[in-house]
Amino acid sequence: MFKLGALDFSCGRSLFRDTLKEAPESTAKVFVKIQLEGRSESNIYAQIDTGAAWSVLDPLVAKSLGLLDLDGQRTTLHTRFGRIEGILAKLLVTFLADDGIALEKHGTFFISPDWPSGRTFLGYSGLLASMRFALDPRTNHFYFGP
Amino acid sequence: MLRLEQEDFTCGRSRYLDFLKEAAEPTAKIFVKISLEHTESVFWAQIDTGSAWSVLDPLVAKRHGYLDLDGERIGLDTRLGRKSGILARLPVRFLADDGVPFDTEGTFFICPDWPPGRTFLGYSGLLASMRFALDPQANHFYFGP
Amino acid sequence: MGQPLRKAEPETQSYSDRIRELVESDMVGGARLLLAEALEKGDHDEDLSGWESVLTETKGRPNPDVECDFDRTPEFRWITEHSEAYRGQWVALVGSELLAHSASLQDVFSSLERNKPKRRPMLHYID
Repeated sequence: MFKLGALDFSCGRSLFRDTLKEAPESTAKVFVKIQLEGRSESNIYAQIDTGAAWSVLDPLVAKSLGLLDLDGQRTTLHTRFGRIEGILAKLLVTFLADDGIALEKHGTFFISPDWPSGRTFLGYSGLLASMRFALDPRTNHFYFGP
Repeated sequence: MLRLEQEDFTCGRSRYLDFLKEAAEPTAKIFVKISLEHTESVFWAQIDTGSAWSVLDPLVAKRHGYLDLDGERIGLDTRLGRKSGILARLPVRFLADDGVPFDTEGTFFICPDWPPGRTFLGYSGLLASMRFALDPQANHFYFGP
Repeated sequence: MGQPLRKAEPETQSYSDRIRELVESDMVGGARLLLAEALEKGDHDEDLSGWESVLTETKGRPNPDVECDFDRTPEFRWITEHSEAYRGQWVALVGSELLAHSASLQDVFSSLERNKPKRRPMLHYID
């Protein structure tokens, strides 16, 4: 694992994917393995997006986990898909490790039935801003730590 | 520096800012120090792993004469709507507070309609070819080849 | 033996236009593959050097000849405290010292050329 001086910088490592479609034609992005609310049936790939304020949950995943009807803070976000209404809710995210130890964090997610399905984003404010992480595009390794 | 087993993972480190403009940017973002064209001036640029291309502040582009470049013209759907501009390859230097600065090149989208004062560093044409790490506890940005 | 229903249409679009379409459709990987194909075949009279330049993977290098930067907290504090008075302008700062300001970045650079600062200035546009 990573060391910063004598200290551990990260606790776990996983392989990230450049694309979810097995298609070399797509533009490279960073998709990492997570689990939501501690439920193993919710293992998904989510895109790391440091430019986004909030994390956003795929509405199909939200529906399957019964999270579409959560009683969260109602809000409207200006997105590249226009203004979308939804709720902000705190969810437990587990960054799954291929090596080392998984990391559990609570993150604030925007959940809306109007968000295009198939896209879960992990944003900076409310999630990534409270954890250490590193990317090595040579090996497609994603490192994470508390 | 950050070490991975017995090797250096990164070559340099700088402090980054969470908030650049307290009023205009109410949510935390990542602003790192860069210089362009290797001039002796520092600019802040936002790390945006969700964006394919880097975007250059049009005022900086104008000053360097990039607005008239004969680059590849494209239209892009951005967070600010559909924008038309050119793609151009530019040298970027990540300035280090500790360690060694990192010189690289990035493909930038240059668009006269882009809001001034905002330069973004995107994944596909820049960050995807370098190592980097963030430590929000210390506001440290690590980078290297 | 099966027969194709119709002959494959010859490609009428230029490589450049097809690469542009792929880039605009968020298919940069495809654009790179098509560019590689075009460069390998070489049986066209298009200048693809512009696409080659912007689609090539970047290789960077540490540069030990460049002086280290320093903590910019004083500059940031200055911007926070003085931003109202300098809206729509570029400011050049070293620490809490304002070296130059103007709506024109060129003017700020010219001013810094005339009075070279001892340390690397931070330039920031206050919008």
